[in-house]
Amino acid sequence: MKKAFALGVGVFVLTFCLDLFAYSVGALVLSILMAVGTVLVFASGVIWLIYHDDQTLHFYRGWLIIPLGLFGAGLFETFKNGNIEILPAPEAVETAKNLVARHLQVGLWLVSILLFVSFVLAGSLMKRTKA
Amino acid sequence: MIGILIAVIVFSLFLIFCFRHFFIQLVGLKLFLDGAVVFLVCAKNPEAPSSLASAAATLISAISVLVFFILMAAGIQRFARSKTSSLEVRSD
Repeated sequence: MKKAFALGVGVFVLTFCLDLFAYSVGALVLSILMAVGTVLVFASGVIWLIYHDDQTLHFYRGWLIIPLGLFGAGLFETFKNGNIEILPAPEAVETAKNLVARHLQVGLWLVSILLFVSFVLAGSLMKRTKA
Repeated sequence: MIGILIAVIVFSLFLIFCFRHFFIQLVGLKLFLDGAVVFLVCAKNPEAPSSLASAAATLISAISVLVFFILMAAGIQRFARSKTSSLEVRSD
């Protein structure tokens, strides 16, 4: 198996485990949404990989693991001192829906407009090529 | 448990920053977003109300799916025309 594909599959499995973890703590709708997104992203990536056929890893800047590790250690210490714990989170879909509908409507409209403009821009990048 | 979650998030950042491969960066970005969402849902103070974090996590997850569609469409179009497979900007 080629390196890039193997690494991608490993990351996909890890992401799917995270989605299963979200399901196990009680967030059913959220986990389904995330799992569908994960499968979509992976499938699209595989299509791109087949299309482009680039199996080299292109690994650069390995030293970045040091600042990233420091960042992670800092996060861990901060959350440990802040008494933050992993707790079961039963999904309150009704409450979340009311909260979004009441307080975040304008934000949702703005995001929708931004996404629409982005789609138009992405569409304008498309270029017809001869077969 | 919270240590494992932070390690996953840091690993996803490592994937995004240190590999110049669109496929790996794409799945790494999804891993980062899922890790952030799970973190937002599960990591909390026992006394705090959970509805705000739940709404924010749902919004982030839903919006990220839509943003990924744009990324995928733009990425496939971009790399269909070039000979490189990285996300770095080049004037070709």
